Amino acid sequence: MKTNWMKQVGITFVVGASIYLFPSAGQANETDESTDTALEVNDQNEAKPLLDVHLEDVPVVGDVKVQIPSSETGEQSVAKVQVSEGIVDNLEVDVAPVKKVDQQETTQEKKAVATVNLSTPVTDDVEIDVIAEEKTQQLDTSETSTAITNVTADDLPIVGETEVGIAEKKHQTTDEATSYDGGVVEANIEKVPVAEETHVGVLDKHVEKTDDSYTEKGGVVQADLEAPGLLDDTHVGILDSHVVKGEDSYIYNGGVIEATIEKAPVLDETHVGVLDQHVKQTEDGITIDRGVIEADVAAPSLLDDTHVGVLDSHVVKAENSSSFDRGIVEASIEKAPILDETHVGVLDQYVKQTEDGITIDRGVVEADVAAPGLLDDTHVGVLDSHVVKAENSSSFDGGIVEASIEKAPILDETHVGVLDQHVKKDEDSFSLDQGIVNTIVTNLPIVGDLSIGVLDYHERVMENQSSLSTGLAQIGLNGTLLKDTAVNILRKQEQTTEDGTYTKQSGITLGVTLPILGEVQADILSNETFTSIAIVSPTTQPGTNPDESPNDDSNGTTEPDDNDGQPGTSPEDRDENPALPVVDNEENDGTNSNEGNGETTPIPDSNDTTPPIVDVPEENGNSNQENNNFDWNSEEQPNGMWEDNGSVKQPNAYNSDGSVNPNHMYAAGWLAQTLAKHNQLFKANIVGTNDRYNQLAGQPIASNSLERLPTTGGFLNPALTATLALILIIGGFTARKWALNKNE
Amino acid sequence: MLLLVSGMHSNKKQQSERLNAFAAMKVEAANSSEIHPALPNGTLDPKSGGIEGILDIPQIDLEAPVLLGADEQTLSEGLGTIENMDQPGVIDGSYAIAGHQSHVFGKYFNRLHEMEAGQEFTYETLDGIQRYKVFDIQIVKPEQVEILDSQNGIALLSLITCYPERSNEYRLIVQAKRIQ
Repeated sequence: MKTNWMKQVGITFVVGASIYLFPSAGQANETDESTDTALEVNDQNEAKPLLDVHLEDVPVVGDVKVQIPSSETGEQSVAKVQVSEGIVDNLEVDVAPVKKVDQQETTQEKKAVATVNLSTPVTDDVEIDVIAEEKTQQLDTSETSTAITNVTADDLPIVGETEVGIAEKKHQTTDEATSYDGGVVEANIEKVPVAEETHVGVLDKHVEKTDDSYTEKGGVVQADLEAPGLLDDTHVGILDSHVVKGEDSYIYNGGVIEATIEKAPVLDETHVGVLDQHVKQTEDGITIDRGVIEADVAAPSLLDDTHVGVLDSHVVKAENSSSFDRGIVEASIEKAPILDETHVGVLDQYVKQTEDGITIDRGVVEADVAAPGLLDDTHVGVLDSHVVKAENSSSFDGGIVEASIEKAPILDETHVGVLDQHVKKDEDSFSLDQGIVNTIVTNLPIVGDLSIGVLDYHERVMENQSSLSTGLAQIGLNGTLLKDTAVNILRKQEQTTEDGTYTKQSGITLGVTLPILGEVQADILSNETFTSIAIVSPTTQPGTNPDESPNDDSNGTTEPDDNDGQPGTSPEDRDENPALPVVDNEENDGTNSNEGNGETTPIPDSNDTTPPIVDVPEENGNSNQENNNFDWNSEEQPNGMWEDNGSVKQPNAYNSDGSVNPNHMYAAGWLAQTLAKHNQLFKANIVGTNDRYNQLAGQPIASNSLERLPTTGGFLNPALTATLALILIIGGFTARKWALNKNE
Repeated sequence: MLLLVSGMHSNKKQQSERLNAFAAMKVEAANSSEIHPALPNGTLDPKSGGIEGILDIPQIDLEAPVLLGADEQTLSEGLGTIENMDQPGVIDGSYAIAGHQSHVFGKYFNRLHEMEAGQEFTYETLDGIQRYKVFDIQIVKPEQVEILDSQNGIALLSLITCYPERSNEYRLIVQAKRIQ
């Protein structure tokens, strides 16, 4: 046994030595030159593998080739296994391959822990690199890419040309730009049946930097899809952000979910975002849009420029203006088949500030609808407020419910307000309208103009006069059937001029204008008073005893009839004793007489002349919380009518230098019948006395005080009325005769 | 019919009474001005009853008292002046008289549209008789109140009524300047 073993080893050694040595002995006829050539060729070839096994036609597997190590032209690997012509067309596995391509202008080197090339009838060519690094240098461009796994398929059955990288990152540097593209998972699909150039990335980031710009895109999940004719330039991102920085600009678009479609069969430029934010900053200003849910849809001819936002805010700040628009829910449509510029907001607020002023709109529910031909400029607001403040004017409109229609098929300029308030103030005037219910409807088919006020309050203040109207219910009609008709319940009216305050209170007032009878007015429980502000006695001189004044009564008020229509003095007296100082405004304590100082200071009852308590909107849209009063004595209102104590301010008869104030010369002392010129109700009592005198009290106003030229038309004239009467008479007789004949 | 006749009669009577009252007041004012020369020129006596003057336009057969005010009630009784304007006949001043174009019980300005430029008429106040010459006739919208603005160098008197017939849509403005 032992002898056999030794024989076998010995024979094998001898055979092997013979095989190894015999070729060397057989080269006796070869020249040195030929030997050198052979050596040269051998130097160019790769080193021989330590193990090179070729197996052909292995059942199932096919041809198998194993090389350890493997060395081919431009490619080396620690080990290479190739299986072909079997179950797969070709399968190559390279372990630690290093591939170099060195061409004229391009140098490429690729390293990997393992590379698998697979070619099957189903997958076509697929290359898988594991822990791979690839460097490419081409002229001025260098590119480096690394990946834990990189799969490249030329033509997969469904997705076509596909490239998937895991933990992949690419750096590219050119003379002009540097870019980075990386992600935990990066998949690029060149072509699928419906889409082109699809990209999906997980924890994906793309950065591109040039000398004058910086662009960064990133997201936990990013998907870009290009499906021509179906979804053009579609992007969906989760925790998505997109930053573009330029020399003078900055743009940021980001959100938990961001979806944009450039074009789809029905949609144009559609964007949906969840917890998204968009910032755009340029030299001229900044724009910030953010919201929990933001949807911008453009569906041409269906919904143009439609925006829906939840917890939405939109801020624009420019050099000379800023605005913000925000709300729990904001929906706006630029144009739809029926609608134009429609906006609905819940807990909505809009603020715009410019150099000229500030505008604030806010409401629990705000709806602005424009449906041409159906509802023009319609606004409905719940807990609605609208503030406009300019340099010299301000206005406030608000209410629990506010509804206004500019024009509708039946209605013109309709306004309905519940607990609403409208305040307007400028340098020369002030107006206040408020009420539990305030309704104004114009041009109703038969009714005409209709106004209804419940517990309403209307006040107008101009430089030299003011009016006030309030009541439990005030109803006005002016139409075809009933013209200038008014029904007022528990109404109070006040008219104040330089001369005094006329007050009318009535339980029920009914006024109707009938075609033939004219104006018919009935007052129940009516009371009219006039309280003069200042009475100048012809004998009252500064320092004289006021008790000598014949027209001065104890409370400082004078009824118009007290002096038989005389203006407190005769014309000749007036010339001899022009208007005298009647009150020192600075020292006015609100009492009705300044006894002992020689001055008559008739002051109307302050209870009846309460200064208007007006909630004046401030710039921030809130009320003036400090004093909550309309400040008529501020520097902005030198001609204010109210004193701090609530009494009516006295007109200054004398200028500061002691000279007579010409504007006051006639105003202070004459009968207050000027009121008759401003108030028709007052006219019933005092008209027709000496109105022309009172006209001298102020400068001629001419057309400035007129809003319209007088209405002087009428349907009926004597001839027409007589004709109608005759027709009625003849018709009556004819009817009677016809009836009698029929009975016979 | 009776109502119409009664109304017409009443209106005519009222106009006549006012004309007479104004004549009486004018005499009284003349006496008063002798006693009280400081009475402002052209202004009414407190007892004038609100009559501003008498407008006499023979071309349209109109002689009517002019009341103070152009409100509906005043205009239902006759012609009326727009308040807060200048005195009549004052250079650089503007004065306006309005009247119904058609009214159940009166004629008033029912023939104002027959006026033509160049025609003359008079307006009598307590101060005297002022003669005017029509220089312009316009049809304007009711809101065009600037038509009443004074014009430099003339004493403007505007006569206002509605236009066209039985309509309030426009206003017919006959403007005249004082010539005497």
